[in-house]
Amino acid sequence: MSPALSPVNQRGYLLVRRDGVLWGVSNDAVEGLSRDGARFRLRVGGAELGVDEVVGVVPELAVWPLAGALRRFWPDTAGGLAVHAEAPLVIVDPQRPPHALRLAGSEGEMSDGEGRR
Amino acid sequence: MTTAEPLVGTGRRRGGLSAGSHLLVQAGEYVCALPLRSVRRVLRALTVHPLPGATDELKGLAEFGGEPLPVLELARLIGAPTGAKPAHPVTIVVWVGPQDARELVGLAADAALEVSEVQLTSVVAGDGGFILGEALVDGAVVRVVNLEALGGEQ
Repeated sequence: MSPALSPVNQRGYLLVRRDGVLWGVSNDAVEGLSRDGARFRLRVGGAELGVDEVVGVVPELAVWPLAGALRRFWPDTAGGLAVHAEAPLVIVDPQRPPHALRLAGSEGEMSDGEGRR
Repeated sequence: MTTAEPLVGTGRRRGGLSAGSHLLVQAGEYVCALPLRSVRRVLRALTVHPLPGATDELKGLAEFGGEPLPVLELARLIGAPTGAKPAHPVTIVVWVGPQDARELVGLAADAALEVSEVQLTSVVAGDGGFILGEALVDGAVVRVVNLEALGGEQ
């Protein structure tokens, strides 16, 4: 991309897929991973996320910042973009998990495990 | 990696590039002119992965040269009426935004037509959106696209 948009090599990502879109979550940001029927449930940044498939783990990704032209037309949150095996993917920002991955009713607040917030 | 799509017909370009050199592309029922100095590659349509929640203008993400590339639907950007289903759709990789903060995006279009001279002094100002204005090329109206306006957030 442009000189202003240079990638940063970051280590350790969990790759997941939902509705055909590939997402990367920093291993350090994954607070929980469990099966949920045929799908999987991820806990990231206090939010419950649902994914269709756990693709695997990659040791390193070159992460590009989101281009302004992308932010203009895509209102969701993300920590950047990357490519794995010639497929583009979106990096999850653990501080602001994307709405596209959230389970219904999960707004990112921390709970105490018994439903209290 | 996708192979480069040769441009069709460059006969009207005289003596190398100038500020008026533009790539003419078909986008729906409109013919658009893209400043040639901002065009990096013309490719057969890249495989695009749609993003949930994106507006209609954003087709999705593709991979270009090992990097992620947002791909925008040119016809949607400029409000062009839908044309016939393209036989050989293309992705045009262009620089957008101001010179000091430019970024690469892909523009999905129906066809790359030719390189032609567009006299910028003859451009009739547009609506202030992504169309800089309209000009006549060989008696036909072309919409000159404002690629600088595409960069950055609104």
